[in-house]
Amino acid sequence: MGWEKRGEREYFYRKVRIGGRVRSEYIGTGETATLIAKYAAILREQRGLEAWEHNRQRAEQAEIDGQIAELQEIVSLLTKAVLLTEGYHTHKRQWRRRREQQEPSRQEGRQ
Amino acid sequence: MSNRNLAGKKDGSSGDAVDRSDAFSKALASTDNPRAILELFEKVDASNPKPEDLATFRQLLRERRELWEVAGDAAALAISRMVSAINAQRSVKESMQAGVEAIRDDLGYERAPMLEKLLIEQAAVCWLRMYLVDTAYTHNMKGSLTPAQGAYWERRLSTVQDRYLRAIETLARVRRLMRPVPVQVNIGAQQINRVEAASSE
Repeated sequence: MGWEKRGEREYFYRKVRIGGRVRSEYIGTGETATLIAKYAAILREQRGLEAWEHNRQRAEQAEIDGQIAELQEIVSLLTKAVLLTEGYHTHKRQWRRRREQQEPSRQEGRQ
Repeated sequence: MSNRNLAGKKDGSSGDAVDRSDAFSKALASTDNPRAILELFEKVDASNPKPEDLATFRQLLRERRELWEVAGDAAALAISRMVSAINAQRSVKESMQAGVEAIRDDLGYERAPMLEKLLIEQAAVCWLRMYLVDTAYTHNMKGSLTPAQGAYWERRLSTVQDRYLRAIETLARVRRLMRPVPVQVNIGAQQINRVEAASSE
């Protein structure tokens, strides 16, 4: 939307897309067009504020997600560390106790 | 859990370069000899770790409480950040905190060993995140959304639900592994039940 000057007078036009091409659509002139132009500006500002707020919330949520991901990474490392020191290892993506730590119970069973 | 070792390298790889995660770097930075701790991590994460290395590392985990405190601090920070980001009255925020504490209690936080406490904290954080995203999802779906916005909220909800389920599954898995399992031992003509740690998942 915008004002276009023809001679001494100004006319208010709206840009619309028809079939892939942009065409100018005449809205009016004088006081009516002025009111429409102000209303259009308010709508634009409102859309801009909404978009800004939306982006702000997305950034805030992304930051929180980053903190949670960091927590999960630390906990995952500590979990792995404890399981390793307790005699477990991964085999085909499953945690298993090391074989040598199972043998004492089998030996006791043979006595 | 991935097959990468704690330093981020694949098993069996060699070389001086260490690809540490930022989170792990922060945990190490709180100690006085991070390089030695990292080298010990790598030894313990090898295919056949030496018993003495395992024992040393076990002792290290017991003595270096700062390694655990980093995780606890990260959980507290995440919860604080989520609660402060809510656009609601103070009473609503306090009820969020109470909900987190109730989740911890339900999962047995007070009596849990250190590792389980961390896993419970992680589950509580993921629960709060899921609850808040679900609330926002419900609120936004009542209004008019573009298809792209609708898909965005669907993806977000699905992600936080998966994260919460994984946290609960990890807690259950570790509890199952670390829980003593009665083992029947036959000595002569006598049958004796002895309690040992679980052998596998």
